[in-house]
Amino acid sequence: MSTFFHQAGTAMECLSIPITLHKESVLDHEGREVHRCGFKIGGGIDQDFRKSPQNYSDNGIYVTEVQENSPAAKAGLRMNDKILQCNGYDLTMCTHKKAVDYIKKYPVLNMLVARKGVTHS
Amino acid sequence: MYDNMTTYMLSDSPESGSGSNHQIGGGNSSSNAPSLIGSPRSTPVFGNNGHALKTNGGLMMNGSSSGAKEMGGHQMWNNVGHPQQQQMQSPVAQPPLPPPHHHRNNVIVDDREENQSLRSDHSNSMAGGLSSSNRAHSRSSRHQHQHSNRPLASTQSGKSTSSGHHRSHRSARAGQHRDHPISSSPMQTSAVLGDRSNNQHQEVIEVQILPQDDGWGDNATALTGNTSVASGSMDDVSRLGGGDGGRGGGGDGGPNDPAWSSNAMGQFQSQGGHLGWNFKCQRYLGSITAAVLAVLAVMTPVAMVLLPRMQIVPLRSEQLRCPAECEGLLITLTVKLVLLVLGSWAVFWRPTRATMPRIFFLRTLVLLLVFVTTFAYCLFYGVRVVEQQDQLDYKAIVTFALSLVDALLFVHYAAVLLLEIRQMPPRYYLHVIRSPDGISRGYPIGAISIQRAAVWLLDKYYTEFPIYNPFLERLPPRRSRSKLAHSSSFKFYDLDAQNNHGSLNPGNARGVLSTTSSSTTARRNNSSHNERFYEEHEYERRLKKRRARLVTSAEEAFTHIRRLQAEPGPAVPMDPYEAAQAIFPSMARPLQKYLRITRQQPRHTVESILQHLAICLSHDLSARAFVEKFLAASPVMQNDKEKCPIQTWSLVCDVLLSRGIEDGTVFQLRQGDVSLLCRISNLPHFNITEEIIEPKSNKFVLRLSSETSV
Repeated sequence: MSTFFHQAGTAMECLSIPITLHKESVLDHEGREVHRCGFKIGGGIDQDFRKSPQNYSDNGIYVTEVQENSPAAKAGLRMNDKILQCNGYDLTMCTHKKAVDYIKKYPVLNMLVARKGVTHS
Repeated sequence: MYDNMTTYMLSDSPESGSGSNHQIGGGNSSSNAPSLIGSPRSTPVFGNNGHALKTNGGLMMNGSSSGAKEMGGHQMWNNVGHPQQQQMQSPVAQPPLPPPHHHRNNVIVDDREENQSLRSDHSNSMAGGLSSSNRAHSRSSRHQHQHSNRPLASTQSGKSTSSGHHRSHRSARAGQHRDHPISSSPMQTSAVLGDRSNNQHQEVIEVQILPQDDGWGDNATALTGNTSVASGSMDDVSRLGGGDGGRGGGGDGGPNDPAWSSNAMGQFQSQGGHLGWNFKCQRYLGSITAAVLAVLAVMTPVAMVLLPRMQIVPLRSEQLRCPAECEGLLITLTVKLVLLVLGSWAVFWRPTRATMPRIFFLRTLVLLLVFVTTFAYCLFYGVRVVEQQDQLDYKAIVTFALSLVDALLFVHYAAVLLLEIRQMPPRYYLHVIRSPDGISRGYPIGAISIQRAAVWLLDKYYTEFPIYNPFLERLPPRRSRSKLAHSSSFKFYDLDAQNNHGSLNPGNARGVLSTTSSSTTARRNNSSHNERFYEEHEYERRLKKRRARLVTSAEEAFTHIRRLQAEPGPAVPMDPYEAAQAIFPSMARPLQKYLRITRQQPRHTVESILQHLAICLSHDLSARAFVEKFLAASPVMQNDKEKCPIQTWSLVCDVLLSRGIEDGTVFQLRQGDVSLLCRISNLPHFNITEEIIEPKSNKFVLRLSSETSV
């Protein structure tokens, strides 16, 4: 429960789902080759969770959309998952931009994800 | 004036130009040019060899220059009557003689000067531009006459000594003059003394009788009927008239349609006060012609039908029988005639808006069509009736008349199209700039001729442009500026410009002064733009203050007046004019001050203000509505002084005025101080393309900035 009501910076202990995501290389609209994960994230300590349309309850990084047949979907990522950790980087206490940077950094993501109803009741 | 001299020259009309023509005095008897006298230079007679000749007279220059070193007098002599002749002779100028020779000659002939009552006006013509020969001629050059072709007597009778000197000079140089025919002016005679072959010491004593001009120093530069510079004269007014005579009249059935007949306007009748019979004639001639033609055209079918009935055309009674179809045709004829008259009245019957200088092409075309149609039908009618009287049938006559009416109806239709509809869709953009104050406007305009465009524009001008206030050209100066003004501006007298017009136009004078003084101050004073800025700023402030005071006092004044039924207590009933008079004094002073600062006093008299106030009171207008008349300075028609029946404008254009306007046409309308410069440019052709937006792509998703796609 406190997983989804986490105050950034405080200590927390919770169960999490490990997800390994292999990005795929695609050409973006300009023709450059990018690694695509196929999901969208929202949140961050610089954002206001009260304004989120998905009614998130804290300032963590949440997955707001997972595209079909994307590496994220194949890896098991689901919408409204909260990403706790990515490749060792702590995403519970970082800004939105930082989270994006961390996620885009490596072609393979080893994430720890918390999911309502799964990792906690 | 030098012209006045009577110079006596003994010589006869010219013979071959032997060198020693001693020309003294002279001047064309024929020409009596008003002269501006060149400044006589009073250098000594002798020993002035180094003095350069300054020549002013062009013709004389040519003629005299041929003479090189020779005495100006010679050329002068030739110049007197025949400048061209002079110029032809210039190529055969004699070579200059060495100076000592001249001197010697001078000395020799000096003695003779007393013997001859010769005057010299050689100098003037001599002045020819040759510097080399100028030494000897220097004296002559001084007295050169600038503006007349003839050599002038450089001295009057009183100055015989100097003229004598001149004579001596000339006689000295007489020797060098060869092949120089003496001009054949009847007023000049020359006597050749001495041996012709010997050029050295010949002297020709020339006597010339110059017409005395007793207006010495009083010359007028223009002959007018004016008695003073600032007045006009009847001569000017009599210059009215001319022009192209009345061109065709109005449209098809329209008696009084835009009869833009030719115009003959002088420039000084801006309000039409002096327009004479000529103008009235031309103003109405066009419309009267059109009216007459239209009436004739309408009457013709009627006449065609009636003539047989009235037995003017003798027909037998069985021919005159009119069965049912014939009656039907008669009814149709009547109806169509009525429609024709109604249509013509509706579209073309109106007072002429303008009198134009050139032929109104389209209208003339329409009238021509009408005339030709009517005439052709009449002709055929006459021929048929005369030739085939026996075989005629009334129904045929009625049918014939009906076809004429049909034709006339179609001509009327064409007239409406040509005269009214053609110019309606806009094709050009007309940009107008008013000259003294720089107000400009732009209008879309259709395809019409230049003169009609000018008329159309004047309509717009009178209803849309703000009033031109000539007194506002210079902002009312502050008192503190007067010191500045004295230091930074200087008086500027421009004689030539004012003498160009027959009468002094104060607007023009001010224009000249203001442009020159402003340009000079701009040049002289680098901060003049600063002055102008602050001046305008100050002026605006004061204007706003006074306007505020005016409005408040007007509102206060209006509260004193109540309608009769609304006023409960004892009251003196007054009619609106008296009520106006009653409340006017309380706002008179702020109103007067406001009018003064905006320089509008000449436009509003007390009487007109009271009338206006009375109207406002009787219609229950508010104080602000009353004051509007003084605050708002537009349009031009609001100025009561402009509401006169005839306004004269003169139209200036490079192109023939009856041509249509084109891209790049520029024309100008002038009236007194005000001038409107108009430029035409094409309106662009619009390329409208269709852009299709699919409705499916018209969907929206919510994209929050807090989401990022990775």
